[in-house]
Amino acid sequence: MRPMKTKEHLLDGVPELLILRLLAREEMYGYQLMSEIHRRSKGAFEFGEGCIYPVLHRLVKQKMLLERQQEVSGRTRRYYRLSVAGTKRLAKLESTWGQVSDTVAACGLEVCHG
Amino acid sequence: MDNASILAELRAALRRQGVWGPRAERLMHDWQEHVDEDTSRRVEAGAGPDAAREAAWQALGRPNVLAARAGCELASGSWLGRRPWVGGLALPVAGWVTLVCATSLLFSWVMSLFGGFEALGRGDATSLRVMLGCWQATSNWLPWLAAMAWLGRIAVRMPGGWKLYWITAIVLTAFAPSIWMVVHLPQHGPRSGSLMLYAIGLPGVIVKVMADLFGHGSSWLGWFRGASVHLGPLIQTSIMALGTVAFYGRMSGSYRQAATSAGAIVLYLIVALVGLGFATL
Repeated sequence: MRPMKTKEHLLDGVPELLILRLLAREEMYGYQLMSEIHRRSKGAFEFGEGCIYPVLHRLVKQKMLLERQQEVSGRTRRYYRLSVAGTKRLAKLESTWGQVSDTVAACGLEVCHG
Repeated sequence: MDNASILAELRAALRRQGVWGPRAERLMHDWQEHVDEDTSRRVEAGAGPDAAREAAWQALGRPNVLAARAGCELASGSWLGRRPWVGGLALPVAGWVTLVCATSLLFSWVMSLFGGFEALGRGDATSLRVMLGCWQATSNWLPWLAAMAWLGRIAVRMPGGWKLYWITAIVLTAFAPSIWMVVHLPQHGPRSGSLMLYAIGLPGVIVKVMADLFGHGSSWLGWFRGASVHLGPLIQTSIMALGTVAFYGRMSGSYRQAATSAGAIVLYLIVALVGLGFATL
């Protein structure tokens, strides 16, 4: 198994992973995305609602997401969807997340049986 | 707190994080849109408009936290942003040194154009002397100004923020007056002019050593034209470097300074060897 970088903070990549996963299913706008994260995680992640937008903007800048604008009730709403690069990035993040999860689970088993 | 004052506070917090212009406006738009949407949902659920808006702003997050998060996220989107010491310190210093070398080369090229200076009339010669004097003063400080402008543009949005900016500014300002270019115009026929780089103090010696990597401008131009490179300037600089370092070490009298001096000597020897290697190609 390829060794994983451990210097990053444990939850640093979680908002990015959640965003990419949700946008892989369907196109969403910021508020909708935040509500979905809140609903599906049952409020487990306590990062501020506004913190999701800088992540979205970074992902757009890195061409992981594509965006379009739409007028709704006199307001301009930005919809985001996954690009090809974003799909690859999601696969990579999920693989890394799987490795972390498996390793943590394996360590737990050793402790239980030790 | 009303909507306008919260937006003003957000904008100011973003500016402190080095996020302004279109990037800041985009974020402000998205946050405002989020709050509007949240407010309308809360109103639909039965809350009063003012209370709903206040609750929506609270749920969004405090301006300082939002701005700090935005600064980190946007910086981490670029290679330089993920390496603040490269973008905020190493690159400006390296850029400054390169600019010093580039301006010295440019200077020597212009000198070569005026090789027939002694043929000019007295009035023209005076005008040319004044013009070159102004240019000389400009080119002595231009690299420093360029480095500071670059820093002003990028350093503030790095995680190090203004603190890193001031550290770098002090480092650059310590180096900037430490090396000075003086042109002696060719008044006694072609090739009688010269370009002198004066080094002042230990920082000057280090910068001059780096400049020597490229050789003295006029020598390199001569080398490109097939003439041999004179080793005189390198030997002269070597003696000056050793003398300055010995004097500096003796005056300071501390282990730290001695180590710095030794480091400068080692750096000089490496660069001088590389320079000699180029010269004998």
